[in-house]
Amino acid sequence: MTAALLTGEGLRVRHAREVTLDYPAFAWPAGTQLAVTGPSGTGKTSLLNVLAGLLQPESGRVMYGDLILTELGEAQRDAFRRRNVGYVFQDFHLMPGLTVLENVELGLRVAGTARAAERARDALTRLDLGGRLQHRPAQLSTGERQRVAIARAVAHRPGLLLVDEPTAHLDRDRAAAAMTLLQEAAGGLGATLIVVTHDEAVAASLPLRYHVTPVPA
Amino acid sequence: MRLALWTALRTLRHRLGALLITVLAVALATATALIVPMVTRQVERGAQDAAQVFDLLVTAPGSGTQAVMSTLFYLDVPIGNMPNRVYQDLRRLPGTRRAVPIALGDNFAGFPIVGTTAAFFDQRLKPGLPPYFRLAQGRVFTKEHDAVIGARVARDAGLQVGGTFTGAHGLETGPHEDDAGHREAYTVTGVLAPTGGPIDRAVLTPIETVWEVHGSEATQAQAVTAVLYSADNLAGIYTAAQRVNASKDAMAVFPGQVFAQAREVLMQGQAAYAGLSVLVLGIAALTVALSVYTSSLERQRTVALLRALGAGRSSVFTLVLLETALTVTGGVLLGLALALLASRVGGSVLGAQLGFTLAPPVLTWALASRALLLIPLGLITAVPHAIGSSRISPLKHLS
Repeated sequence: MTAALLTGEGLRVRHAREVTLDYPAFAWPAGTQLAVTGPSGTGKTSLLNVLAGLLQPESGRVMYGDLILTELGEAQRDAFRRRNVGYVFQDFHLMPGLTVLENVELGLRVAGTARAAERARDALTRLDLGGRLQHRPAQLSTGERQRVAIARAVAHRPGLLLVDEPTAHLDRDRAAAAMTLLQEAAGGLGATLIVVTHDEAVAASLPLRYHVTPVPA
Repeated sequence: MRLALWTALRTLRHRLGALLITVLAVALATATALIVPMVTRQVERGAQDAAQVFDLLVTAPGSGTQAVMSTLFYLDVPIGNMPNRVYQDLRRLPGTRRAVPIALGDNFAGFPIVGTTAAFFDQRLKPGLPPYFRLAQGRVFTKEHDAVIGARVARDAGLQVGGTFTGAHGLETGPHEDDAGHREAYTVTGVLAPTGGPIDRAVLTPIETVWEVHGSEATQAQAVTAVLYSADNLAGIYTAAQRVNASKDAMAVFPGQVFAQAREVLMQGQAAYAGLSVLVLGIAALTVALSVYTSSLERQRTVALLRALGAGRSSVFTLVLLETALTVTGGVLLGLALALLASRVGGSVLGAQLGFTLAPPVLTWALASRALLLIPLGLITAVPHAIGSSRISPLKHLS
């Protein structure tokens, strides 16, 4: 998928803890790589969920190219997500009953991509997991599990790569390696990379930063 | 649909243990519900042919069932003997097509020795049809101590045309006080083609042989155990039955009627069993419901992930129904296979006891539909869970 300009204005999200959060307006050109930073509880992950079409804001508008994401119905947002979004969750959320290959294949099958198994194998091989295809997630190290999650997120070539706290479970060296991997993957696809992090080193490794401040409405 | 099927097969693989338990529960319930009706039908089919070949059976007065079981199926002791004049009267009755005398009392290796006449071999299921009993080898007996043996006798005793054997007194094997007088050899003149009925395990010999081996008194009395009677038309059969039943010496029964009565009793038992089957199938449906419920708890994270990746509600709904359909269908198919296997084994064991070679079990559509009903039933129990799963919020389970 081709990346597109991502804009947001007047975004207000009701947080689960009955706190309403307002976000500064943004306009990120296709291929932007940026860190979303801010103290805990300021709605960084909520912003990712809004951008993924998983969460509807209370008010405001998000646009991806010509598409007004915040005005789409649920089924349309599902379609937007499977075509345009790659999401790396903080806890990876790999399916324990599937092999590494099948976990990546699942993402491709949801996206409706042809030759899913072949493309999953390619994506995993590129991330140096070619020897782990038939392993279960429980048999992998944390770093390997994260690479599987990244492979699943990028295999269908999304225009928007959303990553939640990618270094939360990694030591400093592995965190740096993970960031390099994400940046290369997004760069290779021409995708917009948005990384939520509380890690200053991670934020510093990305060219742009979007800081969310605690401004309860 | 392809995504749902792909995911369902893999999630079922992940829950293989629980899946096998559910599949086995459904399979056992299905098999339990089908085995008895299937075996009963096999027995019915075997017995019906054996009973239909004889229009009217005349024996000493007593129980009709015992008369049929002893003289047609060789599974009971005969009620007793009748004076020879009963046979002669029937033979001379106007409109008589055939009156075949039967004299029982001896056995060879547990197989009943049946004294009769050559007319025995002329019996047919219907007038236009060829004789029911067909010789596979040799010829019909012509003189005393000749014997025509059933297919199973030939097989079990290893006898062929020209072979000889010695009979023993009584209808069952074992030593008897007066066996000394029964040591005369029989010579096999013919072997019958298999019928699947009781005649397969009978030894047929001229009735005079039976009288002769039982001594001079028997030879003089020429008593008969039964007469198989057939008339030119139905009215003739009823006339003969009325005539016989009016006397004190004998009783006439219609084998088909006795068989129908026995079937009626059997059907009452079957009705009770059908009720039990419904209960068993109900328990299987509950097992499916329980399995769907427990798997729905495990499934929440899978569903949440699928939704987060962009799978629509309909895909999730289909996934839950497919998992259930695959589980129940697997169980039902395994159950049908088990029922066929068990009916085949059970049928041959029962057939050996009853003296029939039972036909292979047939799974009728009516019977199969009882078990197949579990599939929509299982799907109905899965619908609320499928709806619930399709409404799962990805954010609730992935945060």
